[in-house]
Amino acid sequence: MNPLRVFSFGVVLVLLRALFYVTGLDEHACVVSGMLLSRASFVLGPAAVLLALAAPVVAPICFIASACLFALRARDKRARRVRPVLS
Amino acid sequence: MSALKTIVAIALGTAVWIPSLHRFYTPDAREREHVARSLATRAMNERDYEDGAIRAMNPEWEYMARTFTVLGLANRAIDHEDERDASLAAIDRTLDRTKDQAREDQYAFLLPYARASTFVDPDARSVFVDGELLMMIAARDLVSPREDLDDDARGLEASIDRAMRRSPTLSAESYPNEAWTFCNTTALAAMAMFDRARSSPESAEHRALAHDWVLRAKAVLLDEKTGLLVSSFTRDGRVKDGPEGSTIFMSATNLMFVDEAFARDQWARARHELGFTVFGFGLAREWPASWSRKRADIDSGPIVPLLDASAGSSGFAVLGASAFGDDAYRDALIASLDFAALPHDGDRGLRYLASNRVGDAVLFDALTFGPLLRRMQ
Repeated sequence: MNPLRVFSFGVVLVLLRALFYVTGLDEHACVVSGMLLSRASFVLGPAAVLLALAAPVVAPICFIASACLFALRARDKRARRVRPVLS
Repeated sequence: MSALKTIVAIALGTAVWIPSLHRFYTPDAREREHVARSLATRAMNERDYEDGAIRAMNPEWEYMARTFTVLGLANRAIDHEDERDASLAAIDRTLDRTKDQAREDQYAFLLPYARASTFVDPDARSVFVDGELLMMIAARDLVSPREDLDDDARGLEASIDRAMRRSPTLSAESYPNEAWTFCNTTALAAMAMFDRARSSPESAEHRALAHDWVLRAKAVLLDEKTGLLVSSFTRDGRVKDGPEGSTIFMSATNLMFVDEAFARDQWARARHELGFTVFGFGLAREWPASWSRKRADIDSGPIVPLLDASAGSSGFAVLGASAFGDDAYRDALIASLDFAALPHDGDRGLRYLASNRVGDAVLFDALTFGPLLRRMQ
């Protein structure tokens, strides 16, 4: 998989999390303790909690994985550049 | 080959990141104090909490929120001289409101099924309502006695004492033919606290009742497999709900005021059976693995799939961990809260958006626990 896609997935998660935080949509999370801000809380509450859990877990893994993949790709490029000289 | 590299890279990222994640959430003393101060500030400002919403959801929770808020405020009042007057004023507002409402209609604080039948003991009131009210008054008195509540407190003590002695299990009913260890240990702790605050002439009788209750509980209320106190039972001792995290951590904490050795035994068993950590995050199961009738209920709150951890159990586990000095487990539980309960720091201090008033109140009592117990010694 393209390492840029892995990296971008992490960035999207972080941006979504930031969007919920900055716009106050996080407040709907009260639905998990049985309180409601509005009917939208049934959708936005679980979404806020899922994002709050997923962003700090998944995004850094994506960043570490994409760094590894970029490093592997760079190593492969170097190897391809070196091969004609050897032959 | 490319897919394999991606999988290996993600596995590596997971192996590096997941074991380290809890370090970003585990609180230090300064952060715990920040949470406690935020909760204290909101508890002192009655406009910050509306009872209506939580009462509509569960009237028990509204009542328990008042109890744990009063306990937290009393603890802060003892240890923080600068907060003492504001804490006592907030306690008094809650007490005055609560004792009048409880006297007028105890059913206002009970779930609707309380009205479906009558108490087996015709002279008894709900020990849930009376026990927690007595505990609020006793906590107030351990900070600074309020003479005008004396008659109310002594009336509650006498009523609870009679109802417990008349019961074959020495446990009074919280609901018709339904006794809870949570409520009965709260009542015993409340009587011990009030007797300590007022040097009550009946204190020897209450100590004897507590001693007999512990003996009876060891005989008929312990789960065979775990040795934990069951949660609820009929007045004559038929078990309804086995050991539950949302009950046992509070019961063990209450027993610290009554029988420290038995309290520590129950805490150790509950910690072993229910408490656990996953990559540094603390959680607590609602039921022991050996209990067969596992079902989510209003006390457990949402259950985390696969882990069997519940919000109710994990919340009360913070109280238990604070009371019994298990600092590492307490901080691991708070790390879970900081991770999953959406903490927001704003002009009203720190709030957990996924929590509610009763969750806040239990956390408040947990983070301030200690001063009231010290006054007992």
